[in-house]
Order: sequence, then C-alpha cells, then structure tokens
Amino acid sequence: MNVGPEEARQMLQGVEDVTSRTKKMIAYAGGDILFIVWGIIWFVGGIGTHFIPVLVAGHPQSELLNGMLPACLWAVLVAAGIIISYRVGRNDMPTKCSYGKSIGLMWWFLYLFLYLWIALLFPFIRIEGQRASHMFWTHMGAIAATVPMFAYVMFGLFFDRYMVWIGLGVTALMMVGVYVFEPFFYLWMAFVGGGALAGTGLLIRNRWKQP
Amino acid sequence: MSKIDELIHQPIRLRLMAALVALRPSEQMDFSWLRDLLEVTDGNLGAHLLKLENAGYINVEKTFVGRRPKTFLSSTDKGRAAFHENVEALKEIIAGTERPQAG
Repeated sequence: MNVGPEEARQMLQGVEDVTSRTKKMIAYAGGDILFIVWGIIWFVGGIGTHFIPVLVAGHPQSELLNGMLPACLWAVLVAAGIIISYRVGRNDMPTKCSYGKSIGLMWWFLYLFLYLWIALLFPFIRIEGQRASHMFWTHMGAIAATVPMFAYVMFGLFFDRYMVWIGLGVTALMMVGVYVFEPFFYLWMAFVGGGALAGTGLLIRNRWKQP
Repeated sequence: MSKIDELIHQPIRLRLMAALVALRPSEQMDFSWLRDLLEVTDGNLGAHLLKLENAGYINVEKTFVGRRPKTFLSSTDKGRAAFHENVEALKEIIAGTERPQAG
C-alpha cells in the first residue's frame, strides 16, 4: 500500500486528536450532570437550612432538635441526589468499566464510616445554648459537605486530576464559610459551595468535544 | 519495518481504533458516545464496526441497561497490536521524508 508523507501526517494528526478527545470525554462526560445536580442540592439545602424556622424552642432538648428539620430536608435531597447519580452512572456514561460498582460501594462505605465516627463521638458532645447549637450544626454541615470533597480528591489522585482541584477548592471555600462567615454558613454553602459545583458542571459541559 | 494495515488504514476506522485503544483494557465505550466523538452517522459507524469486528480487532457487546438497548465496544489485543503497528508505520513514513538525504 502506497502512503505519502502528507497523508501519513494527516492520519497521525487524526489519531492524536481522537485520543486527546477520548481522554477528555472520559474525564468530563457524565460528571457535568452530577456536578450540576449536586450543586442544586447544596443550593436548595443551604437556603432551606438557613431559613427553616425554629419550631421546637422551649423543648428540653430544643438545641439538638432544632437541627432535625434541616436534617430531614437534607435526607430527602441527598436521597434524590443518590438516585439521580445512580441513574446517570448507569445510563449516561461514555464508558462501562469493571470498577463502576466498586465506586458506588465506596460512597456507601464512606458515609457508613462517617456516621459510625459521629455516633462514636456523640456521647462526648455537649451542646448548651443557642449559640453552641448553631455552631454544632454548622460544623456538622461542614463535615457532611467536605466528606464528598475528600472522595473527589481521592478519585482525582487515581483517575482525573481536575477533581483534586475541585475537591480542594470547594473544601477551602467551606472552611472560609465556617470560620469567617459562620452565622451565614448555610447561605455561604448554598451560593458559594453549590454555585462552585454547578458552575464546574456547566464549565466542563461539552468541553470534551473541543479539540 | 512496520506495515500499513489496509483494514485500519481508513480515516474513520483509524480514528475509531484510536478512541478504543485510548481506553483501559477493562473499559468499553458506549456506541452513541463513540458516534458523537467521531461525528459520523449510526449507519456509517455500524458498517465500520462490522469490518473491524470480523477482523477480530474489536469486541461488540449488545446488552440492555434497564429497558434501553445499549451497545458497548472495546478493542481486542489483536486490534491494539494492529493499531500500534499502523501508527508506527505512519511515523516511519514521516521520519523517512524528514531524514537528511545522503550524498
């Protein structure tokens, strides 16, 4: 077969272009929807948590119980997020890999251990007064928000390096929210944290299609 | 000296193999994502896939995810070897023209 140098050059250029776009596609595709979905969940949950009124003031355990309504809101939102993530992971990813189920299991184990650690620490937690209650639930929110960021960093180290930067960046923003804007932490989480996640999703949407 | 593989040496088939070889050996690519990546029609891609499958260069797995039919594609060891040899052959052609002429 007779192939000239110009044709060979064009064919190799085509190979390099497709190889590069395939790697981008695997890195970004599917993730855009998940980032947008979780960004919206953070937004709704953060706004809701900030504005949910104190309904159980005066109860002996009111400081603790005040956190239960937002916890219920988050339980509903996170359950919806898990269902959507599962469906996206199953139906809308460009590749099928042997470790897909392991990734799903990793999330379950991560949260299982988180709840185990919190349960182990719970007998030693003393919450006295409205201020302590607010701080407690702010810190609990920050823990719950940074656990998936830890998972992003771990994923990023093994698979797609951009996730390391998203995980570290959003964690840094959450720490600013906890220590600088603590009274407005959940609003901060809604707009800055949720906005950062949804913005990342929009940013990487169709990015893999670019040469 | 590497040889040009006539089956792979066709623009769409070469790019198709490049996409599948870029995956890890344990991964498979969804048909519709590959179609979008290569910017071809379903029928065009299907015809090229059939040729590569008959040559033993790719595996085609048809399955259902929920109620939706899905086709997943991956390259075989034979296909990966043929692709890499073809790329080497192309590099050698270019290198041959860039080599300074003796004498």
